[in-house]
Formats: sequence, structure tokens, C-alpha cells
Amino acid sequence: MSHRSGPLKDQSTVHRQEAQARADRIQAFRDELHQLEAEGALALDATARESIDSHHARLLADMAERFDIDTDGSGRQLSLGMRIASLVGALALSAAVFFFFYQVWGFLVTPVQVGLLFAAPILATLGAGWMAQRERTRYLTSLLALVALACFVLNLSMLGQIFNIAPERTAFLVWGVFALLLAYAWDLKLVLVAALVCLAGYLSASLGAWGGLYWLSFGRRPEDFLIAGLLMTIPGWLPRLPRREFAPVYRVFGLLMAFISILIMSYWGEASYLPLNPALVEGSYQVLGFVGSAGVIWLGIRRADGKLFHLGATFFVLFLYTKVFDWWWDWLPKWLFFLVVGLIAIGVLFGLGRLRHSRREAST
Amino acid sequence: MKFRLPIFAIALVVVVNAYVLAGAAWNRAGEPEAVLELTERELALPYVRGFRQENSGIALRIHRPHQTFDWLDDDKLRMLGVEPDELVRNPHDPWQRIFRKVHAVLEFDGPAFEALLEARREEVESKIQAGEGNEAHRDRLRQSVADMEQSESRLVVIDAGLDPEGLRERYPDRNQYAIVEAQLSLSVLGHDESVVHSRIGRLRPERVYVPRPYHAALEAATGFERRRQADPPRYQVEVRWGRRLEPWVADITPLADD
Repeated sequence: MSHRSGPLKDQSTVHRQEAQARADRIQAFRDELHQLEAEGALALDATARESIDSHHARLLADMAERFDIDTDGSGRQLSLGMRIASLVGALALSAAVFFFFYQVWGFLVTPVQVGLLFAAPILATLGAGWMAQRERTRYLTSLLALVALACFVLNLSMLGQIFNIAPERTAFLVWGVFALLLAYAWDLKLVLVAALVCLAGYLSASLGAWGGLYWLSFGRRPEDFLIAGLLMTIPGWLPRLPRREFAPVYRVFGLLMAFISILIMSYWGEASYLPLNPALVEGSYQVLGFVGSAGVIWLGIRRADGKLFHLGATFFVLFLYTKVFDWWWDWLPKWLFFLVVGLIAIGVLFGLGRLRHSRREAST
Repeated sequence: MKFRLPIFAIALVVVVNAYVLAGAAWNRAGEPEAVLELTERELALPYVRGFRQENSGIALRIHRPHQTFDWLDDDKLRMLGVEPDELVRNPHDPWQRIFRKVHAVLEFDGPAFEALLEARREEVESKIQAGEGNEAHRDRLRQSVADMEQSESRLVVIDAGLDPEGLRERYPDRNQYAIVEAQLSLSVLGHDESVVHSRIGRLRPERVYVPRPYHAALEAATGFERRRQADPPRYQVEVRWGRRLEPWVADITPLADD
């Protein structure tokens, strides 16, 4: 029996995501079966129907018990709400910790300040670990892990202020590694994104510093972020990544950063490292933007990866519309400009529709 | 594995904190690299507004007078690892400003400040002799010289380099010269004939944190109210720079009113 379809009790290492996917398939199967019966295309005998229903019920109950998954549509809606709430909660609690420390630190002597700053990330990490043992959905674990990261950021930045230490880019590396450890420990995608933000900051600052800039000026060279973004995607393509479910996060985050850099460079050629005329640099990046986003659309279709497809399509349209605006906003009467924009949108719809049709034909 | 990763995360916090604290202790161990007796002229209270209203910590901002950087010529820039011709040659370089990390020499109340003061005197004198403005305007010009004499910062950047030890050999008086980390700021100005405009920008750090034990002295001298421009300084601060050129406040004394 295959890994996916076999009895769940035999899959001791099965992942929550896989259990959720199985539950989704069961729900889809039930819906389709109901439809087929209503259309008179299929009539299962009572014994077979009861056997399937009881098997599915057992499976769902078992998975719900072990992984706390959503077994119906409303459960998924609630889960989305909980994810949003955990992100908002993490941001708010991090801000609360930050402002509370700023409010009181002036009244404390240095050893107490240092003790508090040192203890905060450790206590928050222990709290996240404690929560991870009691919670299977990991919403509160994710929230506490993000608070732990915020405490560690506060820890190092405030130590820098207390001891008048010049800021160092290595801090971004340390925060990134800390967040990576927490993300991998408890399977937290949101914390992984935070880790990638820190690591992107470190990589960009390092590239800028190696190029001779003061590291705090790294925002002045968008190409640093382009290179950092492409480096970030690498783990997403590796077949033996420790947590396979993290692969889309690496791919989407890295490519998102790369596309934003390309978009900026396509209008700010003067900031380029390339020893070329700024207009030529901008033109090259515009071409790269179109080719790159089209390539990501193709890749998304080829790998049946909806996230990649949407990312590529979003940036393709963005590159297209910024270029259209650039060319025609001043030149065309406004009604004609918007007519052209509307026609382009219809053209994109036709293009994607044809692509979809050809994919369907190929798959049949 | 799942059990160990959080342990590694906690170990990372411990190791990094130990590293930072050991670095701070190393900085302050032994003889200080420089000791300057600055006043409110050089170290001002911060503006308290917006978010700062909720910040109970106090850090004094290092002030410097307006100065020219004639000594940052092409040879000096090359010494600092910047090739000015290359900057000018690069037609689309930039975004107008480039920053490089360097070490700067701060001279306290020395010939450089005297020269700035003298230049200001001469400028005012020439304006007055030329009959610029009305009498009230000329009074303000004279007052500006007096204000500079009694309330302007006397910390002037007089040199820069990449090797702090070499700079210390050239400026051995540790009670008048402090060597600090700073940003070299470069701008390429002009279109047809580009020129490199260079200056020493921000110091790193540009604020010095005041530990809790010195708050009482600072409050006694100022009530934590910022000094009005041109008022005389109200406190003196002993600032020490350590082995890593990081400063710290060693003492704060209220200054008696004259």
C-alpha cells in the first residue's frame, strides 16, 4: 500500500500537511460521490457505502485527534482566521515587549538591563517549546517563537545602545540563524519567513560591503537584493531538504525579492553595479523582468505549483502595466489609455486561457 | 532533532550575549584609549518628542561644529581606499552619495576649533566693514561670534585613516584627540565637470548612553530640559574611549553658573 493511501495508523511519521491533504481528498471524494449518486451515475450498495463511510470516519477522527486538522470547509476558514490572528498577535506582543522595555530601561541599572535582555529571548523560546508540546496546530507556538525572535532583536540592539557599540551586519545573520532554528524545530513557516528577511538583510549588506560600501547603505544597491533573493531560492529547489513543506517558502520568498529588485532596477539604472549607460541598464532589467516572470509562469505550470504560477503572473502583469504607463500615460488621451489597459487585460485572459486549454489537452 | 534545535537556539543567545559582553568588558579594560572632558556643548540632551516621550533611557548626542574638509583631498581619499578619478569617470554613479567606513580623529578644543572661530570672526568682520544689513543685523553677526565662543561644540574632525593605531601615533595626546569610527561620505557633483565632494559624516556611534547612576547629576544640572541655543553649558561629561574605540560615560558633573 502506498504511503499516501495506506492506513494512517501505519504512518507514524506522516506529516500534518499530508494528513490535511488526505482529509481534503476524503471531503472531495464524498462530495463527488454525493453528486454521482444524485445524477444517477453510481449507486453503491449499502454495505460498501457503510464500509467506506466508517473507514473515512475512523481516518478523520484519528487524524483530527493526532494532528488537529480541519475536516471540513468551515474548519479551514477558522484555521485561516487563526493564522492571521497569530501573526497579528505576534506583531502586537513584540511591539508590547519593545515599548515596555523602552519605558522602563532608563530606571534600571546596567546589570538588571542586561539580565532582562538576556533572559527575555530564552524565556520566550522555552515558552514556545512548552506550547509546542501541548498544541498540534502550532498557532500559539508560532506566535511565541516570533516573540522570542523580537526579544532577541531587542536584546542585541539594546546591548549595542547600552555599551555604545557600532552596529554590525553580523547581527542580521545571528537573528536569521536563531529564527531558522526555531522554524525547523517546530515547523513554523511564518518564523521561516522572518528568518529569510533577516538573512536577506545580512546577504545584501555583505554584498554591499564587499562592493566597498558602508554596510548600512545596502538599500542603495537593489542588485544586492536581487542576488540575495536568488541565493534564497536555492534551498527551495533541493530535493533533499529536511522539511519538504518549507521548499515553497524559499522559492516564493526568494523570487519575490528578486522580482522586486528587478522592478526597481528597471526604473533606476543609475543604482546599478553594471558599468553601462543607465538607460541600457533599465532596458535590460525590463527585458529580464518580462523573461523572468514568463519563465516563472512556465515553471509554475510545469511543476503544477500554483504559488509560482501566481507569482510569475502577478509580476508579468506588473511589468507590463508599469511599462504601458511609462510609454503611454502622457502620450494618449486618458480614455484611450484605459482602453488599451483593458484590451491588454483581455489579451492576458486569452493568453492564459489558451495556456490552460493546451495544458488540459496535454494531460488528457 | 526537534528537541535539540531549540537548545541550539538558546545556546546561540547565550554565546552571542557572552561575546557582546566580553567585547564590552575588553573595550573598557586597561588604560582608556582616550579621555575627553566634554561639556553640554559637545554632548547634548536628545530631543524628546513622539516615540522618544516613552523612552526612559538617555543618550547624549555628539555634536560637531560646521566645518570644512579641505584636508580630505584626492591624496587623502586614495589613502582611504577611494579612487576619486574612478568615481568621476563613472558617469551614472549615483545616487549621489557613497559611504565608506573609516576612522576619524576628533580634536577637542584645539587649534582646529581656534581656526574655525578665527575664520568666523574674519567673516563677520568683513561683513560688518562692508556695511552688510542694518545695525540690528550687524549686532546679530557680532553675537554669533560670541555664541560660538561660549556654546558651540569644540569637537573638530581633523584627520581620518584606515589604521587607528597609525592615527594614534600621529596624535598621541589622549586627552585632546579621540579616534572614532565614522562614515566617509562621498558625493559626485556636477554633470559636465564632475567633482568629488567628501566629508566625514556620521560618527559610529553618534550617541553615548548615560547609565542610571549619572541621571541624578544630569537632572540636577538640567532638569532634563534641552539647552537653548547659545546658552552656556550646564554639565561636564568625562567620556572615555576604550580598546575597541567604543565610548562610555565615566562621570557627569554639573557646572556652576558663572
